[in-house]
Amino acid sequence: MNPLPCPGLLTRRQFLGASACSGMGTAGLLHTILALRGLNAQTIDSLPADAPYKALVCVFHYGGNDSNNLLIPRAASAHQKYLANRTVIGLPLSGILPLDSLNDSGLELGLHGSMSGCQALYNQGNLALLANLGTLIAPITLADYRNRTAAIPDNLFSHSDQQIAWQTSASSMNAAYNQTGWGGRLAESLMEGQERQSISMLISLSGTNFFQVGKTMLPFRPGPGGTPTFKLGQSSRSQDVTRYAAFRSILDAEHANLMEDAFSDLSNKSIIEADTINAALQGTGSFPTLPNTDLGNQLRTVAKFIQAAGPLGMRRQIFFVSNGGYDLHGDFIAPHAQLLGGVSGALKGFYDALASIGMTNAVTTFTASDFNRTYDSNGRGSDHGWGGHYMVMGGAVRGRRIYGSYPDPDILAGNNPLDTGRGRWVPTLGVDPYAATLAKWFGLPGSRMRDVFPNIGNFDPDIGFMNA
Amino acid sequence: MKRHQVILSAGVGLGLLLLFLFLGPEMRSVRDGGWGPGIFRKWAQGPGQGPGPGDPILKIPGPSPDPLAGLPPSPLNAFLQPGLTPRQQTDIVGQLLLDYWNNLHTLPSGTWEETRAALAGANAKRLVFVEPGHPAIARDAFRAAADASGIHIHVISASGGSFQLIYDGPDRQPFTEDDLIRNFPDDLEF
Repeated sequence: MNPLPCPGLLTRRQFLGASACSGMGTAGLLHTILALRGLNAQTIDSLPADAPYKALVCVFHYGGNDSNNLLIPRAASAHQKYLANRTVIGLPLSGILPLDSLNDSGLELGLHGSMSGCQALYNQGNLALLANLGTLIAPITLADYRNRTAAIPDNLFSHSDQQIAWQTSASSMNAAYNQTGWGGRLAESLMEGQERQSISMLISLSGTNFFQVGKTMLPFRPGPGGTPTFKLGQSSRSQDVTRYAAFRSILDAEHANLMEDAFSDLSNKSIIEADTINAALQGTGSFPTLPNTDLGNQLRTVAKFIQAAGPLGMRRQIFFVSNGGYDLHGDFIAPHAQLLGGVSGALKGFYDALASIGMTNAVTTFTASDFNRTYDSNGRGSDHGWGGHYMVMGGAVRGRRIYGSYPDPDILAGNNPLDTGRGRWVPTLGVDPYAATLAKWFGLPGSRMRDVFPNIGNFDPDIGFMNA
Repeated sequence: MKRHQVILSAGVGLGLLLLFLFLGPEMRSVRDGGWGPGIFRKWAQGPGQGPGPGDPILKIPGPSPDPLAGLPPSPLNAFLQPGLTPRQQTDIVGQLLLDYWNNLHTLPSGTWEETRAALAGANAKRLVFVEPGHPAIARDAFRAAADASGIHIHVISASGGSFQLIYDGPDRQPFTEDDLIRNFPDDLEF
């Protein structure tokens, strides 16, 4: 009996023909995928085997640091303009520390009077300043900003949005990137160069942050003195030892449920990492040059990790520390001096700590903040701004120099080319080239820059403040 | 002319004469030698001179001007009503900003001019939340009257819709001790 004709069904001849074509096509596609994976593996393994240890340390100032009072005009006429514009939040000339060099335009600038530590680092050539830097998608002018004729970062002047913009180096135009931070992406790009991959290259001394979130990697978050210990494993009581052994055997067992399996795997890794890190940190110094402040103690732990990097088999590390309290809309002069003085003391102490273990050339520390603040005052403090001034510190930094152009400190005249209103500066340097310059020094090859910084093609990727 | 026409004309003329004789003094004021309120003079002078400076009629308070008179409908119209507490005022402004966020998934921020422009339609969807000339946004903050205390926006997360409203209090100065600070949402931590 002949089968009934069924429209839409293939005949055997058609099926064999289609299968052969599909097989040939799939083989080609599979080959291409395999070749690309091989190529990808080669590019990922980008660090040479003998690459020396390097670390990046991000010091984030939460709340929007008023860096108009961090880097200040010292020349008499410019300082007069500064005072006339800043009014109650301006510093007298006697409260500004001189720097050994002028900026590229020949303007004499100085540091806040509480920052003698940073002044010494700058004058020694171990610290550089970057003027008028901020979140950008592409270079932009004031006219572009006003007429909306260029891409502008999302939600300017908003705390959390600008923190995220700084830390992700992406905007809503980069959907594939704005869920990860550039520190995380940088670590993932260099992951294969790490001897030991069980310990995260990313370490946060200041809780969760966007900067260190990768597609697969997350930051390790130790306590102030190092890693959190797994209490049960530290006890010598026989009861606890038995409990600990039982707990480990549960973790080691195979689980039918994927969630259980993943949880066990993660717990096991955490315990092993904690044990390893604790052992490595035991022989590290106490670094007395660091002040006993919150930021000082975070940096002390960073110094300990850096000293322990060899035993831990780490060749690259990215640290995140932070302090807050910069959102000074109200009472300004004294709290700001205290904050900047604290940062300056901690950075100087950290540099000296690194010098004591011979690691100054291997570690670069950089500052970041939500945004700068308005150049004019609201009567007591200052409000949310945009482009600001930042610091990079380390032996590999081409220091004793101010990179970028400093804004004209006169916003009263009404034709300031960078003033979007109240002295909110249009940045002339972007976060992307700032970060890319650091990433290049860290070992990220030029071919992978776009993987980490999606908008870097819009900028000159190297500002030039790092030695090769 | 016929006889009846002559009689009619004489009658009308006599009537007019009698009317003038009886009412004429009434139409002249006493000052002008008449007996009446001086309608002649008033007609001659045009509109009256109004009450003098000491006239008690001037001491009677007139009705208060309606702050909403002539305004198109706006969520901020209620903000202009006299007698609202600072909390009620911040509730109204807060609701306006929440509506803005619900529509645009961002909050207005920047200089006050930028904020005002965004509320008046310079936003991604060209939505007008407040008419550009609305008196509540005329100065450097939300104000119920030109000399009233202001409400300032402190944007914490534009994309997350969290913000603070700072009612600057009697000293008219934000970020001082007499401020009322409202968090939106209430449990906002910053």
